[in-house]
Amino acid sequence: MTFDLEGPLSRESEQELMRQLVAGDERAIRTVYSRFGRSVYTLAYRLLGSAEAAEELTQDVFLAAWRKGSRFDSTRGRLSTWLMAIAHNLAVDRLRHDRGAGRPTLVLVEELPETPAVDEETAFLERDRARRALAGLSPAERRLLSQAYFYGWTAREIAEAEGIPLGTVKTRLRTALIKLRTAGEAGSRSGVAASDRRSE
Amino acid sequence: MKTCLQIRELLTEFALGTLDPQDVRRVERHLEWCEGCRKELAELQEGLTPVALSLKAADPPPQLEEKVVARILSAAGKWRSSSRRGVRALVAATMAAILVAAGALGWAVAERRNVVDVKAKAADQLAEAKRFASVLQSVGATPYLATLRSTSSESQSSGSVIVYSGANLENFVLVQVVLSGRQESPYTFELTDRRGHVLEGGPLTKTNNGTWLFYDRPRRNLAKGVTVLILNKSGEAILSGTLTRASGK
Repeated sequence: MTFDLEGPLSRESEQELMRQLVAGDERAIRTVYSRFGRSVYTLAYRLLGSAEAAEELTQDVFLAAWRKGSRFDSTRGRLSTWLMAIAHNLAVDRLRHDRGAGRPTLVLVEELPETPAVDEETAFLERDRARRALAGLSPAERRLLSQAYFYGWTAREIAEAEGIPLGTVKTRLRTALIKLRTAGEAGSRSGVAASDRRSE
Repeated sequence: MKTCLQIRELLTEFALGTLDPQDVRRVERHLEWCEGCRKELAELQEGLTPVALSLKAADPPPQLEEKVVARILSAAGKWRSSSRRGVRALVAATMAAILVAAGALGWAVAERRNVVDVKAKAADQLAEAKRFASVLQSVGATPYLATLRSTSSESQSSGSVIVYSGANLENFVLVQVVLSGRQESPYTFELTDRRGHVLEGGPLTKTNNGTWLFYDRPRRNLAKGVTVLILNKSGEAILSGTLTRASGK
């Protein structure tokens, strides 16, 4: 089975791609990298704040994907989700290790965009979709997510900083994630449908 | 043992990476056997993906793909048989990045003309050479590195040399020099063995007003090379260094 370098993959294709990657197939490795390398590198760069650290982390993420690849189950989630979770976890671990702190102090070069930004990269379907999904959140929800995901603040710290009850923070974070998931799912369905139509 | 209800209270923070380590271990233990909570976590993680993907894209360096491929193939025990083309591409891409950086470096030196800048840029150059060495190490090759220092305490000139000679790749030598002050060209590079026999050498080429390069892919074995010299027009050594095996990161 070969894979296109662009356009969304079906869940079956993602599973097959990972099976080939785990088997050490060079074409599969290149396909996964060409699809997700930039996103992984971007997240690493934004969190770690240096190109050198981002480069190292990106290599670690793909190596971890190869090691853990047999655990990837496309019926449970998308490959992008799985890889970005690995990237975020490794970045947080790296920051904890480097700073010797109980929790990471993430260095974010750029805040979450408040509205979908128009720049040279919007042609990338996934990012465009991601931004549209984020635009569906309230400013407060975006701020809370940013504080937790990019700055590593715990729910308790956010509650103190925002002056709102801990339970409310937890509920808002959870609600925001569910909203994003629902928006992402809808966007992904329309993307795959469009891709299917193109290939017919 | 925690119940599913208690675990689900923690799952959002678990997905966000902000849970304390003790709770992380509790959640992980629970997830090992609980399919329902695993599903819940997957859904929350799916919600986080747009957060990660919405960031303004940063461009990964061109050689990163080859590094990723080399690391996985190497870990899978496959890289030697199938990836010579990839390794060559990796070396070529890294080399191209260094040469482009060297060009830019020359401009910086020419524009600013101050000693601090020369020192800082020379340090960048050495860091670049070390990164290149780590690329080579990642594909199983053993490069040798030298930092070149001025033979005169008054000069801020410096440079770096990277040499590879072995079975995995074609042999090559890359010399980068930043010179301060006015000295007359041409400059010559020489690599000698312990007995002082010249193994490799040639004239340095000037890049954009300030940086000097020597690059070659000699067929002969350079493994015995020890001393590196940069000679001026009169044949006097103005920079020198000793090659040592590049250490891991």
